Amino acid sequence: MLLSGRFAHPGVPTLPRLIKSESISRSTELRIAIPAYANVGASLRNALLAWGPVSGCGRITAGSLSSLQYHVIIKASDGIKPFVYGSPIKCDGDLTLVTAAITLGRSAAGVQVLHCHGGFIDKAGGQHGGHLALDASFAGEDGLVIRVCLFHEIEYVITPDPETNFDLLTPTQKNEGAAT
Amino acid sequence: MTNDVSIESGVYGRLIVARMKPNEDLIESIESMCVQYEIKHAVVRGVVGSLTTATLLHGDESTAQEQVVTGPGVEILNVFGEVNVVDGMPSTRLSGVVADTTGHLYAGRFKKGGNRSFITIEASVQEWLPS
Repeated sequence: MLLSGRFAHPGVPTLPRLIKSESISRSTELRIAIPAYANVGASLRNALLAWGPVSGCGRITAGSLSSLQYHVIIKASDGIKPFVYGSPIKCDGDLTLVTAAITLGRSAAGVQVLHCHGGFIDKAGGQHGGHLALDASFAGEDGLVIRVCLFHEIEYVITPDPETNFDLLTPTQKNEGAAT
Repeated sequence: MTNDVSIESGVYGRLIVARMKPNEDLIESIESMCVQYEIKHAVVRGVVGSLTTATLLHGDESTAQEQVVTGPGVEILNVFGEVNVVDGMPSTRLSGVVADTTGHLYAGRFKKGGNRSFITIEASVQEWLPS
């Protein structure tokens, strides 16, 4: 329910409302170039393998896509979540980057998670923005450049959220459990 | 008004990483992080998430036009900006791009108090330490 710009999810809100964690040590900065026509998700996962499942943030800073799948949030027709991600929207052809940001984290089992939102313009000038499915998206003719900032002392770990009923990336101090 | 270009050298310092729960405001949350950790200057390194409604500003502060992007479920595609805290009072300018629930794009400056988390917002800010 939306009331005065606030949305009441069906679950019980929990404290703290802002979960945060501090890292004293500097981050590691990487520039990752995805080759032309490569699967973006698979290429990024492979590039990050040497560091293990990593946590960090990043941006797609240059390039284009030849194929894109993305999702937008829609009203749910059933289930406990009032809103869910809709079916994938597929676009092919030259897709010009407008902007995109990525959060890197891991599942509780240690699987690398890529959470990416971005916007692209198709060949006809149509706009496409939402939650990008990187594992179903492919770099364009010029490839794609992604710059990431890897955290040293903090991890984003997928955690069930009883308020929204989504599994969400939550900052955690490495080897210490949940942040405050 | 001066025409001199100002150059400040420095290094990045501490990194603060956060998750904003539903109905927490983007700018208010980032400012509270900086105040709590006594960070005077910070740069937004990354934000991914969704908003109940986006409120974007266009134009100068004094004459800004407001654009409301209706949700819930407005996706944050990118956020850029800085936070400066003077005597415990934060001042923040964040710009970025969002998409509505049809995938249409909107850009502008985020209005403080007008951009509340819908499901989650992941945000990372890094301290800027002038030399």
